[in-house]
Amino acid sequence: MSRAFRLGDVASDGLLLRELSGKALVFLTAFAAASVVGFPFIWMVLCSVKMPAELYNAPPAFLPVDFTLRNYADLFIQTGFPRYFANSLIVAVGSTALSLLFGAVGGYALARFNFFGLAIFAALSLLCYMLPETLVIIPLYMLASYVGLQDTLVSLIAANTAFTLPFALWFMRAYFRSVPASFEESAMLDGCTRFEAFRRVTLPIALPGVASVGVFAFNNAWNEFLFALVLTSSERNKTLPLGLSTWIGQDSIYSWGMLLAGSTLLTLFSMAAYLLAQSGLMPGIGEGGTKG
Amino acid sequence: MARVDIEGIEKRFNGEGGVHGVTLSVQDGEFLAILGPSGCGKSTLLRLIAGLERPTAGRIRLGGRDATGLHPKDRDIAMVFQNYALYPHLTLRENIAFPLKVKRLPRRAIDTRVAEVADMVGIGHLLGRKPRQVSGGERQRAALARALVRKPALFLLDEPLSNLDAKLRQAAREELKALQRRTGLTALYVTHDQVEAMGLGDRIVVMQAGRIRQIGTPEEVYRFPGDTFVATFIGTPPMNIVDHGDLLVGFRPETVIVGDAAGPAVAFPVVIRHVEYLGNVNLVYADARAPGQPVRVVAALPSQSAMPFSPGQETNFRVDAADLRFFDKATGLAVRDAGVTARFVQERSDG
Repeated sequence: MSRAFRLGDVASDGLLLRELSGKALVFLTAFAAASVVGFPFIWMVLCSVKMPAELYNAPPAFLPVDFTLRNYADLFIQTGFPRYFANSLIVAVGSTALSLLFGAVGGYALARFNFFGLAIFAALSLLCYMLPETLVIIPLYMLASYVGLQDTLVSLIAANTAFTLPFALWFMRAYFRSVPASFEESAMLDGCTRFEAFRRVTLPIALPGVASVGVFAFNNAWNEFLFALVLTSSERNKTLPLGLSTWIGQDSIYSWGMLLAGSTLLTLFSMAAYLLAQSGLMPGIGEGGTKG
Repeated sequence: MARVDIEGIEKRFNGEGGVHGVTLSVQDGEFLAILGPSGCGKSTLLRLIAGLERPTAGRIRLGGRDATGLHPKDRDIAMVFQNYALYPHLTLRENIAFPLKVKRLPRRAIDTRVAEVADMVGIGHLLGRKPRQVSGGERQRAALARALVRKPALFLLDEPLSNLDAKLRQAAREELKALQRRTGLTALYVTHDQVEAMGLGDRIVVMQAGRIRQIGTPEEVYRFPGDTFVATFIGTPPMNIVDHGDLLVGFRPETVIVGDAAGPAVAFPVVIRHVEYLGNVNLVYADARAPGQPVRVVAALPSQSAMPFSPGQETNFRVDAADLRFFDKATGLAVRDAGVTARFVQERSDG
């Protein structure tokens, strides 16, 4: 900072100072916000590597006195964590795939076609999106048991897809509308059917939108709790959020350490999935461009 | 290559625009320019031929075969869009190769053909770049190359030069004409720029409000406009139109001689308003005496000639009888009748 001051003349020094103090303010605000949001997360990670007894120390130490991975090991040995994890993955991947498929194709139809009933359908789907989960959960449970899907992962995939789809449809519709129709018209004149034109030209151009919907759908299904609670009952079909929550309240707390370790893995995985979508998928667009 | 026959094509939209009862034939190897102001339905006509719009009525035949309900992909038509519509996620090479790839041609054949066409339009060195990494002129060439690459029966060009700056447009126009001569392609070229239409078209179709006003060679359209719309739409400055009873009399500004000297020409008494120097010509603006309101008329004189005119001066615009055009006042349609000309000249010399 002092070097910068020496380099400038008096007038620009004043300017520089104002600029720096402005920046400092921005950083302070950002830091405060990040602390509020980030501290519980950091605390969770730190506590997951502490010995069980240390968790009850008062006052608590910020950094673990004895670093341990026992909580993580216990998670895999003593609990159904691997099964919960696999279930969550199946539900999240399944409903993400379905949301993307129906969202992309349906959003395209909403954006490009105009036939009777389409506008009504679009409005209705938005209305569905406004209904809270708690309102639809009982009818949904009745529906699931009526078709014999209660306590299955399929019912969870269906419920999560149904919940994400209105957003996916509206988001993709907006995205496709921003892609000029002349691209696919040109593709059709170049010999494509409408679907080929969609797949080879419109969809690749709209890929950032597809990625956003994918992240949203995955995150939603990965963290979903209420559907899992109501629609599944057996230990075999529990997802991660449901599985972890059942440790709370059974004989007070089953094990804080394991709960925190499980939560850490849950969070890390969805973060990894997000980063993958952001850094892995975006260059993928460019790559697809050069390789064709 | 193939001929195109359009019979009574009709496209109605809710509200304005559309195409109304257009009948038109394009010969094999012909370069046909469709000219008209914006909103006249010229782009809609092109989209109807491409199959991107469904006609409300009428037929389109391509190479003698009914193509009215055919999917765009089955028409063997290539189109260059005004915004070029180059696929932004593909390189220029992939863009140009796209129609061949869709046809599943062998890779080697594709590469050879792409290189050939890219060299023809002069973008061979840019094939690895994405559309956003090249200039407007290069994009226009790439779009042209993509249209050329599969040797389609018919080319449709929708204002392909309108996004280029004036200097580039001139060069691109010349290249396009040279390319057309070399390849002998059949093309329909939509433009609102009369210079492009005159320079490129073997024939010009002048459209207004969804209807064809005139079809003819550039010379026909310019010298013998079919109606007052064509007369005033083509030419800068446009044809002068003066009232005469139930007729309208038209004459081009460059056919005018200004002055009072006697001669065989027909004289229109005028009051000079002002003179505009444009380098190659001087434009003399004047008010012609007419029944009721005076009418603004313009003469274009070579700029070397003396300009002894001052505003307010009374003089004559003299035009050779052969350069006069007559239009029916009620319909606006051209009246091509030697008797009408003779009678008009007679009346003028009597008065």
